[in-house]
Amino acid sequence: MSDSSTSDANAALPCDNDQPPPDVPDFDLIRPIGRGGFGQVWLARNRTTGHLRAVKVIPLRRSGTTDPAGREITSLTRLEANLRRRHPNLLNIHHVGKTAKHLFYVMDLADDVSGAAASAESDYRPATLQSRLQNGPLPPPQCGSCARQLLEGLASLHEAGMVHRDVKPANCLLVDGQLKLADFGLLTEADRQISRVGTEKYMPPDGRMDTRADVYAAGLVIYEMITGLPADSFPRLGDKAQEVAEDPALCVLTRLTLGACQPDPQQRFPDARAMLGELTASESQPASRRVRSRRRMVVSIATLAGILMLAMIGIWASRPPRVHVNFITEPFEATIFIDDVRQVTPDGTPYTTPCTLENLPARVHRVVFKHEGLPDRVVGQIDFAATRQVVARWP
Amino acid sequence: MMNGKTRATLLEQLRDGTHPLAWDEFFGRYWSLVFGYARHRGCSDYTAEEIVQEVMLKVFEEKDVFQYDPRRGRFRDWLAAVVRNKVAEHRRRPSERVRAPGGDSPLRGVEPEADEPQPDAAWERAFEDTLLAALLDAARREVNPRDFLAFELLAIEGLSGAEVARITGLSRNAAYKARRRVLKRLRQLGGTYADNGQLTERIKQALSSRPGPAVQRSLTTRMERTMRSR
Repeated sequence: MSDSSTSDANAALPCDNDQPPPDVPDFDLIRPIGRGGFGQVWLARNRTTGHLRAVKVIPLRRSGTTDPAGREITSLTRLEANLRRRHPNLLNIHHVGKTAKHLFYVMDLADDVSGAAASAESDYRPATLQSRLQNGPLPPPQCGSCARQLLEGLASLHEAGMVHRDVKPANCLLVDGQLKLADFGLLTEADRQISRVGTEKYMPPDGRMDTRADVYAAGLVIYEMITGLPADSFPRLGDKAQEVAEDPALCVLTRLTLGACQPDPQQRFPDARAMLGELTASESQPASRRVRSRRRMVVSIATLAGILMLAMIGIWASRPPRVHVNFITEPFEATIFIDDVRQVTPDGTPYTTPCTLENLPARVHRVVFKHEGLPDRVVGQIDFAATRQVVARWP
Repeated sequence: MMNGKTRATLLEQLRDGTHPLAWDEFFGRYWSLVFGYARHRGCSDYTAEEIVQEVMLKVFEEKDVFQYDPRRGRFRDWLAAVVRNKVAEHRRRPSERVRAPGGDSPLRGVEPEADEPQPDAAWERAFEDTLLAALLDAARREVNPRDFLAFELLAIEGLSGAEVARITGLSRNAAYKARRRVLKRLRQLGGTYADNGQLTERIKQALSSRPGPAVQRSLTTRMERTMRSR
């Protein structure tokens, strides 16, 4: 499984009282808080300022062994030379020094796992993404921001022509609530012959440890943030499937992991900046879709209104012309019903025959005359377009 | 990608334990079986985790790779015996009360064994669940992650085509095609497994019986530490 040659800040370490802490100028080393193949990370206090820091101590080479200290110095020199300015998502290294026996460097100290600020208390444990994931997946908004911070940090390395080669949750420290990519022990320049080192679980199947390998590892780390499942469960969503389906931000992140963790390196994002670009584009897509759909809605309403107006004009244009018709009854006067509607003046008084009604549609109407005490005189269907006078008699 | 002929015997290899496995592969495949069985036999979560760890150490005593020798009988029976012995050892310990780290309340290490009409039926079922999960893992490693996720979401999680398309970035049609491909591959890998057309249903049940990611994470961390220091 994982064969990390780098520090694992999350490994709980017993206080090692048998060996005195190494002597490091200006710092009191309080106790070890992390361990790696080649060095130990200590909780330390600056003797002058009293500030708490993390100090990594690496023994210098003994004859016949590999030179981890030399490798760390190379990596750190590279980092300083290539990175033009400090990046907020890379762990800050304040000082690098050497004693007769050790190489040491002084770094930011991670928050406590509880989320509180770092302290010298005996129960202090550095907060990493790995320790955070022990409590399950990150809440969706935090997933998005942590993913972005990880990619920003990684992109700054890639842009400076370097490859991290050991991106994993244990190397993502939380300092003041911000994610900082740490452990530059395997850092190398992107155009060098790149050997297969790092943590196996996060290595791509093709084994080439270049910027695309960092992208692959970052994809798996983001997958763990979303699901809380270990990286080797990728791409399963399990119980999180429904939640991801309902949350557009989680959908975007899941698609991003699928793009980052393709087995064929050519199918992956070339580097962290490209991955970040895709994240930004996908995040803004739903918004632009909303704008588009709003625009579509406006266009549809306008079209509908236009159609409606044309229809009304059509109806108006095609409506029958208006005519006037004389109504005459004999031997009695009568009220007039056209299509069963009694015809009345604007003030409500019924028209009585003989009279002329104006503005009548020139089409077929049913006409009935009524006189109180007499049966209704049904004239029948009369076409006003052809008839200008309707005359009726009571027998 | 593995060829179909080699993989056709995967189920038999899994069933017989004759496929050589490194500790992490063995752990990945069998931890939930051991954990579930220890829980089934009355252990607390904490003790069940201890038992997983002890079983792993027992299996890998001095070796780096595990390969079962079929002369010892059926692999599943042998593994069941190892787990049962570990549970019995815990039950015999003078202090049966195991304290969880950082917890104030002592947890009962092992509860008295409940009356169990068919103790082996549970193991057989759990063993089959493990085989099915391993089958699914084998398919997962062979196909593109996008296709596998489409399969999982459609066939196991029951999401709609539109939802799956949104999550995977595939078209709906491509998502359904991916489901068919993965299912076909699972059937090939299953070989002699008589699924009666219920393969996805059985896989669904097998997955639902697995402990959650929190247990898996905590156990993985413990095991990594233990095996590294071995």
